[in-house]
Amino acid sequence: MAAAAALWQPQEEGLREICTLLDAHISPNSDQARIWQQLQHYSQFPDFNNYLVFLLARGEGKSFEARQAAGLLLKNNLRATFSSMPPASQQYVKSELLPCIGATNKAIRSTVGTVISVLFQIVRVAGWIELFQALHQCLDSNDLDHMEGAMDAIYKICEDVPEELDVDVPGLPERPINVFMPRLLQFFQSTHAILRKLALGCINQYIVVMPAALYMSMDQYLQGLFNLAKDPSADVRKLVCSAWVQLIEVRPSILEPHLKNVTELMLQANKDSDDEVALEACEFWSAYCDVSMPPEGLREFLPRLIPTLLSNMSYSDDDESLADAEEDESFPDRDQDLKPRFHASRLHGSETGEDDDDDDAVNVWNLRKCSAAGLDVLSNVFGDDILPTLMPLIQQNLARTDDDAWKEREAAVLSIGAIAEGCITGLYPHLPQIVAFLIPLLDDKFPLIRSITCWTLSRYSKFIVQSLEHPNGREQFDKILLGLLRRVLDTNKRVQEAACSAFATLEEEAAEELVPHLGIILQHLMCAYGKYQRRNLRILYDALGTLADAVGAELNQAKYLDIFMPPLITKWQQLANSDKDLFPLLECFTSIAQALGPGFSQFAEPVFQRCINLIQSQHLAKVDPAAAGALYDKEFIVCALDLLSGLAEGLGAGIESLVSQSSLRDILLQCCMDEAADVRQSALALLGDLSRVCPIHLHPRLQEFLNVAAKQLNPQCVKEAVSVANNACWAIGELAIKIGKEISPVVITVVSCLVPILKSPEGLNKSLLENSAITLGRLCWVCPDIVAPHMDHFMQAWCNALCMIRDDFEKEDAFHGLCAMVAANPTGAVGSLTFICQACASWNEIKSEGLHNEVCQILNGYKQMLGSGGWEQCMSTLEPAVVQRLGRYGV
Amino acid sequence: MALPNQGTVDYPSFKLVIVGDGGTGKTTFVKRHLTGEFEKKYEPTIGVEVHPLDFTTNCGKIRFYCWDTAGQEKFGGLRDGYYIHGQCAIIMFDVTSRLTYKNVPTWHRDLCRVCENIPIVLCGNKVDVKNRQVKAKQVTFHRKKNLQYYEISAKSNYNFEKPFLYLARKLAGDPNLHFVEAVALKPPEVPIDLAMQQQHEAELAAAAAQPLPDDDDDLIE
Repeated sequence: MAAAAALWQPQEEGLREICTLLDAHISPNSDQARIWQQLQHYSQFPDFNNYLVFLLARGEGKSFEARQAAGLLLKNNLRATFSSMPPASQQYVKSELLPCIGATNKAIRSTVGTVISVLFQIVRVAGWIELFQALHQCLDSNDLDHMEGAMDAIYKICEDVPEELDVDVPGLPERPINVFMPRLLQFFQSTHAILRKLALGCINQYIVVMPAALYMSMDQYLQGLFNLAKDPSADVRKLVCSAWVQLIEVRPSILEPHLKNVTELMLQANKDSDDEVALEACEFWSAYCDVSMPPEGLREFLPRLIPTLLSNMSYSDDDESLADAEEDESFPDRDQDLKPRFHASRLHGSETGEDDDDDDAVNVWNLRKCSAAGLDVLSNVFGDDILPTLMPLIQQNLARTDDDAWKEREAAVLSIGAIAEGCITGLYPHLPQIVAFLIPLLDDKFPLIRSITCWTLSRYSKFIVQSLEHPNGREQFDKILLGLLRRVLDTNKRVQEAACSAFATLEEEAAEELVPHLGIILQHLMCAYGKYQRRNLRILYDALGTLADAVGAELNQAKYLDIFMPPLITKWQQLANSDKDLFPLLECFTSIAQALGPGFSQFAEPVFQRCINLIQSQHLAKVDPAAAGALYDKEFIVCALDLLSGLAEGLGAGIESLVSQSSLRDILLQCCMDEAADVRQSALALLGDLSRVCPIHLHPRLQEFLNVAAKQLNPQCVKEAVSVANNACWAIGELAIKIGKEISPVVITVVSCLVPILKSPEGLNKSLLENSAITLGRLCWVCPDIVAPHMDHFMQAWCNALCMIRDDFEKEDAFHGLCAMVAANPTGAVGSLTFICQACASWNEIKSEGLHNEVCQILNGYKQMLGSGGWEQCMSTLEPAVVQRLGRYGV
Repeated sequence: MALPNQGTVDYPSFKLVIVGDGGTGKTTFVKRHLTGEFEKKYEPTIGVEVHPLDFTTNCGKIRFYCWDTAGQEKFGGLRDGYYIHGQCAIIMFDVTSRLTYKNVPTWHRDLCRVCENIPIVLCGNKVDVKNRQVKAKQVTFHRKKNLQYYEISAKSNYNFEKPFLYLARKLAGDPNLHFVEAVALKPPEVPIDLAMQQQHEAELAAAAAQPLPDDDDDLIE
């Protein structure tokens, strides 16, 4: 076989053709399509790969680019087809590669390493014993090219398939990694930086795998890492840091005896002149705190670590934020500055808690960010204990008011924000002084100081509001509120953005405390409304909507409405039905309508009509975009439906006249059947809201609504669109209590969908479970005779779900249903008595006297039915706390 | 046969390699630039297409020769052979498809094996799609490899310039470099093009049909 392979010789012409082609592909001016076709053609030849390896290995006189390209193409071909190649060809490729491991040209050498690694993945150790002989020869050669080439190939193998070197192979006395490991460790002392780097890189790949070969050499390895800590090559120092970080992450126990020395080294590396080394080292602190290591070992380093982190938190000269901060408010935002935004369809029920923070800032990673994250982690672990070190430094930095020190000043403000959560106990008594430090910085000359001060103040919102009860707390709150509002009107876009976001955060915490300031707040926000560019306008809408949510009906005063409604209405009228800038405005109106309640009625008619128009024009766009003059975008429908829900919630029965004069019923039914889940979700939410306030107008198509809603509850639909099912479930329950027996035709269908949900709650969201329990209860209440015969199927699971619902009127409805079931068939329910007892005990207090009495009756009824022996036996299976709570019902 | 607009130029030019899984939007992204060729219909790239993209900076004009490589295996052609002499790179994934993010380390490794120490930008495309599968917080690969990361939308043009600006600053060694002339971009709202729309829906459907790996916080170990 080997002899046959040796006989293979390329045709000179073929070689030249392939070479010309590969040369051409490098040029930006070539016809790449033609080259691609040619290559497809050549790849049909059975010995094409022989040509490629020949060119790579022996193509003297040909361009290095063509040889490199030949090697890479060969690698790709081998990956796809090596196993089906003729054995002679397989052997030829293997044997040609080995002599080139140490090729003098770096590109060729590196390409050979790449090809070897890929081929090794296919044939493994046993399939290519000669490879190891060749690699050892190179490593022993003392020739740099040969040593580097071999190390490069080994490194690539370690990167691709580290575990494949840690195997027993017939014919080899040792596992390959056992033989390599001492050699790799020897190279730690090589005079060539590239060999030190590759050796470190190889072993780093094994920290997670941890083969015996590394475990047995651990002392030597760690000693080697210590020795390389001050290596002249930054690449080497970076890999050393990376090794320590990985070791503490996956093998903290190994480091424990050396922890003090390692920590000392990492502290030094954190100050490295090379930013990448410092960044790698900086990951150590979070990693240290994440693993279950006693943090005490770190404590003695805090006085030196904290100043280092603080100093690294200063902006570096190449931070993009520096260039971005230059933007004046007069520059219009471009499309490319606007991140696509989305509206979240209305959901009835408890929040699922999926807080998707899609702020771009989370993705920037550099020494500044990593250091701030490190400080944050330390503040959470050590709490107030970091303050004696940190606070003097912060004060020192803040005292430097000269222009040259602005970055240090900025970092000091950032650090105050970073420790807001971890150190609040210690900071809280000093909050007035901290705020006093920060307030003047809101007016600093440097925009990035103004913006970071907004952020830092917002991190303390909760505590600033808490302090309102302290002396001077009110004055402090007012100063911050006015300071942020001043920055909302900054001339710099980045400051506007930070101030507006910070203000929205303060609004959420402050809620009704904002009421005395509503006039001034609205004046500032509407002044900003007149000057903001598109990007910040979105944040402003959010701040306005949050304000409405926070103060509610307090907003409903003519003097306030006169400030903010006219500009919003003007904008509302200016924007075309196809303008996406409408989305935040629609959302904002939703919050305002809910807040104003009946007070919104003076604005309601045009808003209602616009929503109907938006939905209708989108329905047209869907079937005939040309006639609609716009491309279909369901987001408009979703936003419009949600605003209609907001109107229904705000206006209550006051929406009735609007609904009666419109085609909303038919439109809504169509939306409930839409193929897009988020349209159905919002449509069903609106169905529920309309059921509450004007069920009469749904009546003509009631059965259709019920059938559509019930359909959303079948198991497949629940799986595919749980939020749609959730809203459908809720809407059916709302309808049931309004229309009574008319719900009968769908009761069995709905109950048979709800039961499986209640019976296997694992993995379902809490909201769907609660709504299912409530809706089932409402159906039981309205149609007990239809449901009662089936109660064996769901009583226990239902009671379990009822236990999780907090006290409110929906839970009352559900218990009316529970009582109705027991009344309909007391003996049938007795088997579930302990579950019923638990559900009854889950109330803190039943506010409705009627329901309270009903519950007393059924429990006492069972007590009598069972006799004292049976009742005591039942009670003995319950937790004492449950039994105690049942006392409230007189049993 | 030379393509139009590709003669050599008397201002600095750089070879920019764009890689990533098929369908992540590499071609659409590059063709956003009006001076490049953009009139072609949507179809998978075969082998490679080279587009010259010019930018005007405060230090003069620069040109990126963008090597828009095939993402689909069967059309790969020379694949990493196209990376030779690459001076900078963009790795693209699709935030609506976990798989394309999972494959980023492979693209990165292959790139680094041919082009050592070049500036690389990781781009998460299609942030205009509502139900993304790869959340911003889950994108962590760039932290470990010192790459710059941008979320982009080739559809809305969001952050179109950012990757080019970052690479230009790195290549020029000047963090203060900035673009001085507005780049001509195709308007974000493509005039009604139902074929495109359908294509997009089909892509979404295909993405939705893909089996999903575990919902790890960190998709790449």
